Amino acid sequence: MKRVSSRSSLLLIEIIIAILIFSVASAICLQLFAKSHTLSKQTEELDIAVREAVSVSALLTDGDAPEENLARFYPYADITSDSSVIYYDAAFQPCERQQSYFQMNILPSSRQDRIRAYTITVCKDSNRTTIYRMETTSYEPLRP
Amino acid sequence: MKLKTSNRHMIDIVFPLTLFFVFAASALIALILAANLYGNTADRLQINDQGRTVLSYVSEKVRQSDTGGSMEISEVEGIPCFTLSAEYNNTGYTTYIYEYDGMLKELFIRSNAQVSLEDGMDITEIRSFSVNKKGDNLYQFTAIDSQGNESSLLISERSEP
Repeated sequence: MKRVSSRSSLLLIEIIIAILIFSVASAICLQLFAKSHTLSKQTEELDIAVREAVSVSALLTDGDAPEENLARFYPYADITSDSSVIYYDAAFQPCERQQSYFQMNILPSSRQDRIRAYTITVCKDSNRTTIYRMETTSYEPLRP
Repeated sequence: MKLKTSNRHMIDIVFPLTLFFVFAASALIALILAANLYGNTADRLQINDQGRTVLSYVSEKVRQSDTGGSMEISEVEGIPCFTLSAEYNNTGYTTYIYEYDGMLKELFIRSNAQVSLEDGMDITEIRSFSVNKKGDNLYQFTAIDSQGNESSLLISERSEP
């Protein structure tokens, strides 16, 4: 009787240890999977944010009327001479403010003579997390 | 010998076997989950890289060759091409960037030479590549990757002719 009891308890301990090791390994693996998924999504968002910021920078530096350029390409944006905001949906397509998931803020940081500088910030609308930020400068050419 | 036989129960075999199958099934589920997630992540990376490579490549080319209003959109063999002109040792050369047979290609050739788009160097796989002039100095590049994802980039020409 004693031998049987000893064998049972040994088996139980073995099972408990095996389940514990498996649970720990599974938990670590699932955490790593979730982290890799988040990283991949963040990379995609950063990539699109950089591309959009570069495009807006091209609009701001092209010609003498950056606000008009912005309005032409982003009809739903709030554009003023002090600051402009472009709204994007979850698929990073320009949209109206109500459907906004991401937003791009364009702030003129300085204007001296013929040099205009802007700060472009792309952030998530929900928690205001900054995804990408860049400075751009436009030089108004001297014309005869 | 008799005692040993009487103490052996069915559960002694069934329980470890069941446990083994439970572990095996859990391991298989974890493996399938991992494979799916890895595949998903790899696909996303490939899509990002394809779109990013094309537009980054074009943007770098433009920044590198943006002198004296050298950017143009032309049509060769019925295919629209983005061209960049430059002069080396008093000889004019033109770089053609275009989509041909599902590949983004670049052809660097003397400006007065016969152009054959097939001879271009492969850059990356792509479904479609187009360039449109959106203003005096503004160009819009649109690339559609092999998965059908569209991405576009605006670039302004800084130099003047």
